[in-house]
Amino acid sequence: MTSAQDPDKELVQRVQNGDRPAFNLLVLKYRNRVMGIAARMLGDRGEAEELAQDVFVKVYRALGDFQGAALFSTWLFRVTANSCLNHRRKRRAELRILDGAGDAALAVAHPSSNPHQLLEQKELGIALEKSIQSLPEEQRVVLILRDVEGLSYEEIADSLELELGTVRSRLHRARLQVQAGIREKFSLDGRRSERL
Amino acid sequence: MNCQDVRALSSDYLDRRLAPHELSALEEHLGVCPDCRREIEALRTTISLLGGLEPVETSADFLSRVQRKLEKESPLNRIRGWLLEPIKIKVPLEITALLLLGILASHLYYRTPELAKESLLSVPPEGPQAARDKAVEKGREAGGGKVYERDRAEPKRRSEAAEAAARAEKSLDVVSEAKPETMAAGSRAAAEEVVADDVASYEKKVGALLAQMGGKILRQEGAADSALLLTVELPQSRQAEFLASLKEGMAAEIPAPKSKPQALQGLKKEAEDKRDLPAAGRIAESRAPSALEQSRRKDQPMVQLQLRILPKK
Repeated sequence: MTSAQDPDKELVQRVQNGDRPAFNLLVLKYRNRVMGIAARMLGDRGEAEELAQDVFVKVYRALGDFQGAALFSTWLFRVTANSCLNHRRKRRAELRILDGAGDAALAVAHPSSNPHQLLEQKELGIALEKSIQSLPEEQRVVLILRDVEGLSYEEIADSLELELGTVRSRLHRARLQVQAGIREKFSLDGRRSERL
Repeated sequence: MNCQDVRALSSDYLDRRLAPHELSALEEHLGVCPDCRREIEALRTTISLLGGLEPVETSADFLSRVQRKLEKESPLNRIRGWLLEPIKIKVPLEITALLLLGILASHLYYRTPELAKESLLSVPPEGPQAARDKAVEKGREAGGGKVYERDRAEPKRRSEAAEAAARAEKSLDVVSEAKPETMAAGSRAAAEEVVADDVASYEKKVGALLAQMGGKILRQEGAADSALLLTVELPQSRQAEFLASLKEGMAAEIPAPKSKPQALQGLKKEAEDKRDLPAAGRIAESRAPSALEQSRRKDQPMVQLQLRILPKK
């Protein structure tokens, strides 16, 4: 998709003309995706929420200079990814694992009525989050943008300013590592995709 | 295509990013390799599980908190943000600011007479032309070449420079007038020497001659019966006449000078050229200067000379 086909073009232009409510619409549209990237990059929901708010403040401040060379969403995810990487470097945090009662909510969204299934889903979700958190940063961000947020290879390359080949190789290594992480506990053969 | 190749291309296969020839080769391998089929299915499941992770939702007041943060953007923060613009924006801004400052300084310099005058008065005393050149050069440094044209357009400024230089020259004269000792010391090295049968009477003759010319003996060193060094003072206009009189009236007694300053030689030549110099016989004719002459002499610049009278042996 080119910038000329940007679905957010009109809203962006309205914001650039001083229309604050138009910016609120952009926030409402993208807040959960920004939050999702931040939460899985940082491994901390509270920090992720603060960072997501700051991302929108940065974007609002810089939107006057946004020329539309890329999609607004691509630009927004780039700002988000860079903010996450900078935040992690600043705090030099040790690996934070999304486990325990609080963070399990990240993965378990649609609990099953079957107690056995519920337990399995919860454990699988925690295992997945742990596997994501154990990835190197440069692989993790690619995996989150592609397999969690559903961006195309090209959008990821634009957002992270990487070559397509780099995106492919990092993504493949990340998937293999996550697969190895959950394979120890769960049989992956023939399992169907479903909400965890 | 072997198992290793298939495993390497598995992500691209599942994302449908393989070229047609790669796709056909890979599917051909999968048809005969159950292990690779299992691996491909396991990876497909992993990707599905990742895609099935529920989006993380923000808090309910997320929007209002963003709005509050935007409202907190105080003017100070906005200025800070502006100062921290990317370097490619900041550098042109700084260059523009420097240029504006330069233009402002130049404008103030030439629109404020006190500043310009002070600058001109500080020109060292090197003569009017040098003073003007320096003033123009200084202006060029401050105003980037415009000053030269301005200097042409405003002759008043030139005259100011010339006046400044003239003042400086005058101050040099004052300095030299204020240091007669230095002058005397300089002429002492080139004292006129004469040989006389009688040093004392020769000294009297010199005194009479000086009195006639409006001069006098300031100081005498040595005894009257031996060599005598006289320091005399007379009007500068009569200096040549005095020296010529010494030479003509006492030719037998005045030897050729051992060393004379060039200026003295020039004056002597000038005296030789003049036909209206007093004759030797008139030297003894002492006459009192008239009141008019006295008043003229009063205003005349005086000069000091040294005369060494050596006894004839």
